Amino acid sequence: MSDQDGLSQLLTFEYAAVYGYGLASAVLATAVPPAQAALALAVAGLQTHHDRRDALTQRIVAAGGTPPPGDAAYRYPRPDGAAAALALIADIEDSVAAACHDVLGRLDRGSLRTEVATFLGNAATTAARARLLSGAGPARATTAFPGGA
Amino acid sequence: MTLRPGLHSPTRRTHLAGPGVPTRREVLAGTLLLALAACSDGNATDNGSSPDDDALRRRAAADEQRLLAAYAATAARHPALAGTLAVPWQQHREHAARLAESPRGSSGPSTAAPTAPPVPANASAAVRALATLERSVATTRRNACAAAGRGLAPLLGTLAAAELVHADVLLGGGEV
Repeated sequence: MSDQDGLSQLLTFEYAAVYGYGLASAVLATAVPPAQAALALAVAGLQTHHDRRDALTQRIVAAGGTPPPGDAAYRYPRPDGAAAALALIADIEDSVAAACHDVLGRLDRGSLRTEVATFLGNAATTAARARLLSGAGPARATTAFPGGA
Repeated sequence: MTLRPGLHSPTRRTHLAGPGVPTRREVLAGTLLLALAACSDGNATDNGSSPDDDALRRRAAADEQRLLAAYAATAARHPALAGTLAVPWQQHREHAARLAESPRGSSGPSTAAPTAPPVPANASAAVRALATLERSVATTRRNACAAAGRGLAPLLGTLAAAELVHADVLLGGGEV
Protein backbone atom coordinates (compact mmCIF):
# COMPACT_ATOMS: atom_id res chain seq x y z
CA MET A 1 0.00 0.00 0.00
CA SER A 2 1.34 3.42 -0.96
CA ASP A 3 1.45 6.23 1.55
CA GLN A 4 -1.31 7.94 -0.45
CA ASP A 5 -3.56 4.89 -0.14
CA GLY A 6 -2.84 4.71 3.57
CA LEU A 7 -3.68 8.39 4.04
CA SER A 8 -6.90 7.94 2.06
CA GLN A 9 -7.99 4.96 4.10
CA LEU A 10 -7.37 6.82 7.34
CA LEU A 11 -9.24 9.84 6.00
CA THR A 12 -12.43 7.83 5.46
CA PHE A 13 -12.38 6.93 9.16
CA GLU A 14 -11.76 10.54 10.15
CA TYR A 15 -14.90 11.68 8.29
CA ALA A 16 -16.95 9.18 10.27
CA ALA A 17 -15.20 10.16 13.51
CA VAL A 18 -15.96 13.85 13.03
CA TYR A 19 -19.61 13.02 12.32
CA GLY A 20 -19.94 10.74 15.35
CA TYR A 21 -18.13 13.13 17.67
CA GLY A 22 -20.53 15.85 16.53
CA LEU A 23 -23.46 13.73 17.70
CA ALA A 24 -21.78 12.85 20.99
CA SER A 25 -20.77 16.44 21.69
CA ALA A 26 -24.27 17.75 21.05
CA VAL A 27 -25.79 15.26 23.47
CA LEU A 28 -23.15 15.80 26.14
CA ALA A 29 -23.43 19.60 25.90
CA THR A 30 -27.06 19.39 27.04
CA ALA A 31 -26.81 16.39 29.34
CA VAL A 32 -28.70 16.47 32.62
CA PRO A 33 -27.05 16.19 35.05
CA PRO A 34 -24.07 17.96 33.46
CA ALA A 35 -21.34 15.65 32.18
CA GLN A 36 -18.42 18.06 32.17
CA ALA A 37 -15.54 15.59 31.98
CA ALA A 38 -17.29 13.65 29.22
CA LEU A 39 -18.05 16.85 27.30
CA ALA A 40 -14.39 17.92 27.60
CA LEU A 41 -13.33 14.54 26.21
CA ALA A 42 -15.82 14.88 23.34
CA VAL A 43 -14.84 18.43 22.45
CA ALA A 44 -11.12 17.59 22.50
CA GLY A 45 -11.76 14.48 20.40
CA LEU A 46 -13.86 16.40 17.91
CA GLN A 47 -11.04 18.92 17.51
CA THR A 48 -8.42 16.18 17.13
CA HIS A 49 -10.32 14.37 14.40
CA HIS A 50 -11.40 17.56 12.67
CA ASP A 51 -7.77 18.73 12.50
CA ARG A 52 -6.54 15.33 11.39
CA ARG A 53 -9.18 15.11 8.67
CA ASP A 54 -8.03 18.47 7.29
CA ALA A 55 -4.35 17.59 7.58
CA LEU A 56 -4.81 14.26 5.80
CA THR A 57 -6.81 15.97 3.04
CA GLN A 58 -4.13 18.59 2.53
CA ARG A 59 -1.38 16.00 2.37
CA ILE A 60 -3.19 13.90 -0.20
CA VAL A 61 -3.78 16.98 -2.36
CA ALA A 62 -0.22 18.25 -1.89
CA ALA A 63 1.08 14.92 -3.18
CA GLY A 64 -1.08 15.24 -6.30
CA GLY A 65 -3.83 12.86 -5.22
CA THR A 66 -7.60 13.17 -4.91
CA PRO A 67 -8.96 12.71 -1.40
CA PRO A 68 -11.86 10.26 -1.13
CA PRO A 69 -15.13 12.10 -0.51
CA GLY A 70 -16.89 11.89 2.81
CA ASP A 71 -20.47 10.73 3.19
CA ALA A 72 -23.34 13.02 4.12
CA ALA A 73 -24.19 10.89 7.13
CA TYR A 74 -23.02 7.77 8.92
CA ARG A 75 -25.01 5.05 10.57
CA TYR A 76 -24.34 6.04 14.12
CA PRO A 77 -27.41 5.99 16.35
CA ARG A 78 -28.08 9.32 17.98
CA PRO A 79 -27.02 8.81 21.61
CA ASP A 80 -29.93 9.09 24.06
CA GLY A 81 -27.83 10.22 26.99
CA ALA A 82 -24.37 10.72 28.42
CA ALA A 83 -23.64 7.00 28.79
CA ALA A 84 -24.60 6.32 25.16
CA ALA A 85 -22.51 9.30 24.01
CA LEU A 86 -19.45 7.94 25.82
CA ALA A 87 -20.10 4.50 24.36
CA LEU A 88 -20.25 6.09 20.91
CA ILE A 89 -16.92 7.84 21.49
CA ALA A 90 -15.36 4.55 22.57
CA ASP A 91 -16.77 2.85 19.45
CA ILE A 92 -15.45 5.59 17.16
CA GLU A 93 -11.98 5.37 18.68
CA ASP A 94 -12.01 1.58 18.51
CA SER A 95 -12.75 1.79 14.80
CA VAL A 96 -9.96 4.33 14.26
CA ALA A 97 -7.56 2.11 16.22
CA ALA A 98 -8.52 -0.91 14.12
CA ALA A 99 -8.05 1.12 10.92
CA CYS A 100 -4.59 2.23 12.08
CA HIS A 101 -3.67 -1.35 12.94
CA ASP A 102 -4.80 -2.49 9.50
CA VAL A 103 -2.92 0.29 7.70
CA LEU A 104 0.26 -0.44 9.68
CA GLY A 105 0.21 -3.95 8.25
CA ARG A 106 0.00 -2.70 4.67
CA LEU A 107 2.12 0.45 4.49
CA ASP A 108 5.65 0.24 3.22
CA ARG A 109 8.37 0.92 5.74
CA GLY A 110 8.74 4.59 6.54
CA SER A 111 7.92 7.51 8.76
CA LEU A 112 4.19 7.46 7.99
CA ARG A 113 4.04 4.29 10.06
CA THR A 114 5.31 6.21 13.08
CA GLU A 115 2.53 8.76 12.62
CA VAL A 116 -0.09 6.06 12.25
CA ALA A 117 1.20 4.42 15.43
CA THR A 118 0.76 7.79 17.15
CA PHE A 119 -2.85 7.91 15.92
CA LEU A 120 -3.36 4.38 17.24
CA GLY A 121 -2.03 5.37 20.66
CA ASN A 122 -4.29 8.40 20.76
CA ALA A 123 -7.34 6.35 19.77
CA ALA A 124 -6.62 3.66 22.37
CA THR A 125 -6.11 6.24 25.11
CA THR A 126 -9.30 8.13 24.29
CA ALA A 127 -11.37 4.94 24.06
CA ALA A 128 -10.10 3.86 27.48
CA ARG A 129 -10.88 7.27 28.96
CA ALA A 130 -14.41 7.19 27.57
CA ARG A 131 -15.02 3.78 29.16
CA LEU A 132 -13.46 4.82 32.47
CA LEU A 133 -15.66 7.93 32.49
CA SER A 134 -18.73 5.79 31.99
CA GLY A 135 -17.82 3.82 35.09
CA ALA A 136 -16.02 0.77 33.70
CA GLY A 137 -13.02 -0.51 35.64
CA PRO A 138 -9.59 -0.76 33.97
CA ALA A 139 -10.14 -4.43 33.11
CA ARG A 140 -13.13 -3.57 30.92
CA ALA A 141 -11.97 -0.11 29.85
CA THR A 142 -8.69 -1.33 28.36
CA THR A 143 -7.49 -4.15 26.16
CA ALA A 144 -4.09 -5.77 25.87
CA PHE A 145 -4.00 -5.29 22.08
CA PRO A 146 -5.75 -2.05 21.09
CA GLY A 147 -6.85 -2.09 17.45
CA GLY A 148 -5.72 -5.68 17.03
CA ALA A 149 -6.72 -9.14 18.15
CA MET B 1 33.16 2.67 3.30
CA THR B 2 36.74 2.31 2.19
CA LEU B 3 37.81 3.64 -1.17
CA ARG B 4 38.44 1.00 -3.73
CA PRO B 5 41.23 2.22 -6.01
CA GLY B 6 40.15 -0.20 -8.72
CA LEU B 7 37.00 1.84 -9.28
CA HIS B 8 38.89 4.95 -10.19
CA SER B 9 41.37 3.90 -12.79
CA PRO B 10 38.87 2.16 -15.11
CA THR B 11 36.54 5.15 -15.15
CA ARG B 12 39.43 7.43 -15.99
CA ARG B 13 40.23 5.20 -18.90
CA THR B 14 36.64 5.29 -20.18
CA HIS B 15 36.88 9.02 -20.65
CA LEU B 16 39.96 8.55 -22.75
CA ALA B 17 38.45 5.66 -24.67
CA GLY B 18 35.52 7.67 -26.04
CA PRO B 19 32.15 6.28 -27.27
CA GLY B 20 31.31 2.62 -27.00
CA VAL B 21 32.83 2.28 -23.56
CA PRO B 22 30.64 2.97 -20.54
CA THR B 23 31.19 6.41 -19.10
CA ARG B 24 31.50 7.08 -15.45
CA ARG B 25 27.91 8.34 -15.50
CA GLU B 26 26.64 5.15 -17.10
CA VAL B 27 28.52 3.02 -14.62
CA LEU B 28 26.98 5.04 -11.80
CA ALA B 29 23.52 4.68 -13.34
CA GLY B 30 24.01 0.93 -13.56
CA THR B 31 25.08 0.79 -9.95
CA LEU B 32 22.00 2.79 -9.00
CA LEU B 33 19.74 0.37 -10.88
CA LEU B 34 21.33 -2.54 -9.09
CA ALA B 35 20.78 -0.79 -5.77
CA LEU B 36 17.13 -0.15 -6.66
CA ALA B 37 16.71 -3.77 -7.64
CA ALA B 38 18.12 -4.78 -4.28
CA CYS B 39 15.60 -2.48 -2.59
CA SER B 40 12.72 -4.06 -4.51
CA ASP B 41 13.89 -7.46 -3.36
CA GLY B 42 13.71 -6.16 0.16
CA ASN B 43 10.15 -4.99 -0.36
CA ALA B 44 9.16 -8.29 -1.85
CA THR B 45 9.94 -9.99 1.44
CA ASP B 46 8.36 -7.21 3.45
CA ASN B 47 5.36 -9.35 4.22
CA GLY B 48 7.35 -11.89 6.12
CA SER B 49 9.81 -11.40 8.88
CA SER B 50 13.46 -10.70 8.33
CA PRO B 51 16.58 -10.96 10.43
CA ASP B 52 15.96 -7.29 11.25
CA ASP B 53 12.50 -8.22 12.48
CA ASP B 54 13.98 -10.89 14.69
CA ALA B 55 16.19 -8.24 16.28
CA LEU B 56 13.26 -5.83 16.69
CA ARG B 57 11.16 -8.58 18.20
CA ARG B 58 13.92 -9.57 20.62
CA ARG B 59 14.32 -5.94 21.62
CA ALA B 60 10.58 -5.64 22.22
CA ALA B 61 10.57 -8.86 24.24
CA ALA B 62 13.49 -7.63 26.36
CA ASP B 63 11.62 -4.35 27.00
CA GLU B 64 8.58 -6.38 28.00
CA GLN B 65 10.66 -8.29 30.54
CA ARG B 66 11.94 -4.98 31.87
CA LEU B 67 8.38 -3.77 32.33
CA LEU B 68 7.37 -7.01 34.04
CA ALA B 69 10.34 -6.73 36.39
CA ALA B 70 9.43 -3.12 37.19
CA TYR B 71 5.82 -4.09 37.99
CA ALA B 72 7.01 -6.97 40.18
CA ALA B 73 9.44 -4.75 42.06
CA THR B 74 6.84 -2.02 42.52
CA ALA B 75 4.22 -4.49 43.76
CA ALA B 76 6.72 -5.99 46.18
CA ARG B 77 7.67 -2.60 47.57
CA HIS B 78 4.10 -1.24 47.69
CA PRO B 79 1.60 -4.06 48.32
CA ALA B 80 -1.18 -1.46 48.63
CA LEU B 81 -0.80 -0.73 44.90
CA ALA B 82 -1.84 -4.28 43.93
CA GLY B 83 -5.22 -3.11 42.62
CA THR B 84 -3.73 -0.28 40.58
CA LEU B 85 -1.10 -2.48 38.99
CA ALA B 86 -3.16 -5.60 38.34
CA VAL B 87 -4.63 -4.87 34.89
CA PRO B 88 -1.58 -3.35 33.15
CA TRP B 89 0.61 -6.05 34.70
CA GLN B 90 -1.63 -8.81 33.35
CA GLN B 91 -1.62 -7.20 29.92
CA HIS B 92 2.17 -7.13 29.94
CA ARG B 93 2.16 -10.88 30.55
CA GLU B 94 -0.02 -11.21 27.45
CA HIS B 95 2.36 -8.99 25.50
CA ALA B 96 5.35 -11.07 26.58
CA ALA B 97 3.57 -14.25 25.51
CA ARG B 98 2.72 -12.76 22.11
CA LEU B 99 6.28 -11.56 21.53
CA ALA B 100 7.63 -14.98 22.46
CA GLU B 101 5.74 -16.49 19.51
CA SER B 102 8.33 -16.35 16.80
CA PRO B 103 6.94 -16.57 13.26
CA ARG B 104 10.17 -18.14 12.02
CA GLY B 105 10.31 -20.80 14.65
CA SER B 106 13.64 -19.52 15.84
CA SER B 107 14.52 -19.29 19.47
CA GLY B 108 12.34 -17.09 21.63
CA PRO B 109 13.39 -13.97 23.43
CA SER B 110 16.48 -13.79 25.51
CA THR B 111 15.80 -15.29 28.89
CA ALA B 112 18.34 -13.16 30.70
CA ALA B 113 16.53 -11.87 33.78
CA PRO B 114 16.37 -8.09 33.67
CA THR B 115 17.32 -6.15 36.74
CA ALA B 116 14.41 -4.22 38.18
CA PRO B 117 14.91 -0.48 38.49
CA PRO B 118 14.96 1.00 41.99
CA VAL B 119 11.43 1.64 43.24
CA PRO B 120 10.69 5.03 44.85
CA ALA B 121 9.72 4.80 48.51
CA ASN B 122 6.70 7.02 47.93
CA ALA B 123 3.81 5.08 46.38
CA SER B 124 2.62 7.81 44.04
CA ALA B 125 6.19 8.45 42.91
CA ALA B 126 6.50 4.71 42.24
CA VAL B 127 3.37 4.81 40.07
CA ARG B 128 4.70 7.83 38.18
CA ALA B 129 7.98 6.01 37.60
CA LEU B 130 6.09 3.08 36.08
CA ALA B 131 4.11 5.44 33.85
CA THR B 132 7.35 7.06 32.68
CA LEU B 133 8.82 3.65 31.85
CA GLU B 134 5.64 2.72 29.94
CA ARG B 135 5.85 5.88 27.86
CA SER B 136 9.52 5.44 27.14
CA VAL B 137 8.97 1.88 25.88
CA ALA B 138 5.98 3.10 23.86
CA THR B 139 8.20 5.65 22.10
CA THR B 140 10.81 3.00 21.30
CA ARG B 141 8.14 0.74 19.81
CA ARG B 142 6.48 3.48 17.83
CA ASN B 143 9.82 4.29 16.24
CA ALA B 144 10.60 0.62 15.62
CA CYS B 145 7.28 0.43 13.78
CA ALA B 146 8.74 2.42 10.87
CA ALA B 147 11.49 -0.14 10.26
CA ALA B 148 9.65 -3.40 10.91
CA GLY B 149 8.27 -5.79 8.32
CA ARG B 150 4.56 -5.75 7.63
CA GLY B 151 3.97 -8.70 9.89
CA LEU B 152 5.54 -7.08 12.92
CA ALA B 153 4.62 -3.39 12.46
CA PRO B 154 0.95 -3.69 13.55
CA LEU B 155 1.96 -5.60 16.68
CA LEU B 156 4.55 -2.99 17.64
CA GLY B 157 2.01 -0.21 17.04
CA THR B 158 -0.58 -2.02 19.17
CA LEU B 159 1.86 -2.63 22.00
CA ALA B 160 2.97 1.01 21.95
CA ALA B 161 -0.69 2.07 22.17
CA ALA B 162 -1.33 -0.32 25.06
CA GLU B 163 1.58 1.16 26.98
CA LEU B 164 0.32 4.70 26.48
CA VAL B 165 -3.03 3.55 27.85
CA HIS B 166 -1.29 1.94 30.83
CA ALA B 167 0.53 5.19 31.59
CA ASP B 168 -2.74 7.09 31.30
CA VAL B 169 -4.64 4.69 33.56
CA LEU B 170 -1.82 4.63 36.12
CA LEU B 171 -1.87 8.42 36.26
CA GLY B 172 -5.65 8.53 36.55
CA GLY B 173 -6.36 9.61 32.98
CA GLY B 174 -5.45 13.19 33.80
CA GLU B 175 -2.62 13.72 31.35
CA VAL B 176 -2.45 13.20 27.63
